[in-house]
Amino acid sequence: MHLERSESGLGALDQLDECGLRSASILMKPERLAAIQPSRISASRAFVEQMIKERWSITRTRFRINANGEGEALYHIVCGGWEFSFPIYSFKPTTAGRTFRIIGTAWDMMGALVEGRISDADFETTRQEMPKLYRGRATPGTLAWFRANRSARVFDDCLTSLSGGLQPDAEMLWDAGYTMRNTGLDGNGTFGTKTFVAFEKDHPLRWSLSAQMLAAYMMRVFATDILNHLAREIGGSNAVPLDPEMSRYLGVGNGSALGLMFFVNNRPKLVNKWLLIREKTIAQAKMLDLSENCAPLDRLIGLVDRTITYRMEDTTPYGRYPPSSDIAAELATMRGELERLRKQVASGANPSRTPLVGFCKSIEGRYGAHAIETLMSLLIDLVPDYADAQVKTLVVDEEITGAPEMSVGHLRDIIHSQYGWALGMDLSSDASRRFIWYKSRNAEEPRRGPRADIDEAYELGLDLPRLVVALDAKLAEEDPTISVARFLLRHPDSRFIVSRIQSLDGLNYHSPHANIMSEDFIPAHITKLLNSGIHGLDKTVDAMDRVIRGVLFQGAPLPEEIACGTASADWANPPRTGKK
Amino acid sequence: MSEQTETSFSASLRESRMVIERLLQYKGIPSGRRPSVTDAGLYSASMGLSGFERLLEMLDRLPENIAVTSELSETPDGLSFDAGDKHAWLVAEEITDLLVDNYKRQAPARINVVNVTCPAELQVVKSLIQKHGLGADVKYAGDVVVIALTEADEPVQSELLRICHERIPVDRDLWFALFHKSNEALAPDTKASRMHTGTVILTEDGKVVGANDDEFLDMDLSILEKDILEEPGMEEGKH
Repeated sequence: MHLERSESGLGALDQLDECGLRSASILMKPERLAAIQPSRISASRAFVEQMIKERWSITRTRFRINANGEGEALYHIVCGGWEFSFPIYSFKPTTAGRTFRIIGTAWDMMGALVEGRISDADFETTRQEMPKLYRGRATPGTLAWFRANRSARVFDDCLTSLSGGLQPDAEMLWDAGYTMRNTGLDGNGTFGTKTFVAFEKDHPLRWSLSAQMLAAYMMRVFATDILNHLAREIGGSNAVPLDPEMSRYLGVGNGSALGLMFFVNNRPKLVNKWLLIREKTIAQAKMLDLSENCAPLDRLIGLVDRTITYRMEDTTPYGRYPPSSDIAAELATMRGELERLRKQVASGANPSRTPLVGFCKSIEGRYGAHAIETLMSLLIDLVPDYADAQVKTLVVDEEITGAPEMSVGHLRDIIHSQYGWALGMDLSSDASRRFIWYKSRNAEEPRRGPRADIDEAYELGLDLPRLVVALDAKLAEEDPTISVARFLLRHPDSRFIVSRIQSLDGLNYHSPHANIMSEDFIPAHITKLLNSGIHGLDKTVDAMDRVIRGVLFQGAPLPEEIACGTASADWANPPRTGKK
Repeated sequence: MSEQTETSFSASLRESRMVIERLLQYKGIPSGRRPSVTDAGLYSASMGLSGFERLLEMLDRLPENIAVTSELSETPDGLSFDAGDKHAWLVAEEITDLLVDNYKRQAPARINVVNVTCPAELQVVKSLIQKHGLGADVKYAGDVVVIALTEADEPVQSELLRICHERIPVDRDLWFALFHKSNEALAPDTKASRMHTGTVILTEDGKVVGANDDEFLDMDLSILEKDILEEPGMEEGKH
């Protein structure tokens, strides 16, 4: 049976609740969340799909940068009836104050994403205001401010080659993945930028994270442009531009650490919604009727082959997570099973019309989580229109609204049915409360330190399991028929957790099942979910259990390919064509 | 699209909530109460009540009688609520809840409030109750504040959405004074605390001894060993 799909791309599964999808008890464990791989519904990939479909146009309208890298640039972006400006202020690289942490004070470039055509006055105002950061103010219509640094060694190697008339070493570029690295991207009201929920209904960047993705994509565009420009400045007529094949290799570097735990705590509805649309899209793919058409299986096997090649060629040294060679080996075994399934289906030996349902069930427990989630991500490519439509629904209101008329007994039922994971945890041992989460006064850098070292007055982390357990104990002592409104008169300090539980009632995927204060908790797991799964970074390397670095847009089409309609939709996981 | 110039400065929803909530944390208001009190402060500013101009004065009064439990009694025509001399922002959400609770139970949704500090600030109930799709009428009769639930005949734009679109006007100097005051809620930066994130490995005395990061060579390591860090953007016109 093919599920009916409406013109909007939404289908029958949109009518189902989450009960038919994978259980939160499996999916919401931090180590499983960390295994989620980039897919078509990751923000970066979904954004590129949108640009390709709508044939966005990106034009460089100003580029006044000297051989030292000092100057300014301006890009104009057109999509449908919308226009955006991308002013850039470029600086001579300096070592003083340079770090990829947000406590840095020097950047190679700063820029903004602004609605419409930026005026000369606003271009100058942005130049003055942006370096002040928290003391500065964005001009009207600004969606984001960002900062980036060159990856000095790779950038300089490329520059030396190009200015001398040679292409850079392809192996070096493939390994590095980028020449420019994002060091800060802020919007949604910060510095006076436009609030995302105020975006118009037809705004092309209305869905969550798309404005940030456009800014990151433009960093990539500028990184190549300034490289070619400086090569000409230095090498004159000897210089050659970077080969488009190599340009496509290069993405944008990105590193994240503890701040994303705060993001997950503060955006539970977005986390839930993203995981839900991923599960729905996977379910939609599993339920494809293959009885008379093996094409989706052929497509899936082709995607697995491409990923095996990508993983085999990836020599990135990962820390806590499996090496790519291990994942490639597991995928190769899985591919054999898929090939056998294809033969059964083609010969009519498999009785199921939806054999991928059983296949996916059968691999759970027999393969590692990273290999399984790789296959889940590839399944999404079998239902591209459905996936793209789901992404457009990522417009999420995070307001927390309680239900004061709810009875205490009902609230307690919710806790026992939806927070069982918290009720059974060790929350009393010293190890279970070793850390607190806080921000430094300097640049608001998120940090996590031993409770013994940091005054608890600075605690900013969400101690969800302890809040739930404490609330349950208070509720147990009350008349179960009284309302929550009456309960909170006697327990006003419980207001936040009561409202949060009520507001998230029925959402299965909103919070990791974890005690983030425990010494056993690995913050990198959550950072990896955000960076790898939700943002779509590839080659996500972990360090010290709290930092995840990776690359966005590696292999993505170039602006000229997007504008003229020649961009390939299958750009992710590019082969290492420059292999020696 | 909202406009802002040097003479008409405004704060976004996110900034306003962040500054108020951090100031509440600095003042020691329990974490479980902060979001609701933050929104009371937010609406006070957007509705032109005490606003950002008197925010610090309001915050100084918030801890008074904070431990006193509000007293509630039923009356024939609704509820009687004794706030125990607590500040209006501390009880505004409690009152909102009680009105909604009574309304949903088809009981009289009207409440007489006594013994509340800064009673004029109870006007924020009008905005707080909008998230439940309802409205409220707030009147003053001597020492009693009479608040009655109302049902809108037609949908009205909520105060929250208005803030999202139009933001909250505020004097620029006042705003940045509040912003920097709110940073007191954050932990002081120390060499040791710089070990609590990032990929660089420091000794206890803040000396850099290594890093688990390919970009190590691109970094200004002296930043991590300084006694006091320069805050980004604090040097105006740096570039």
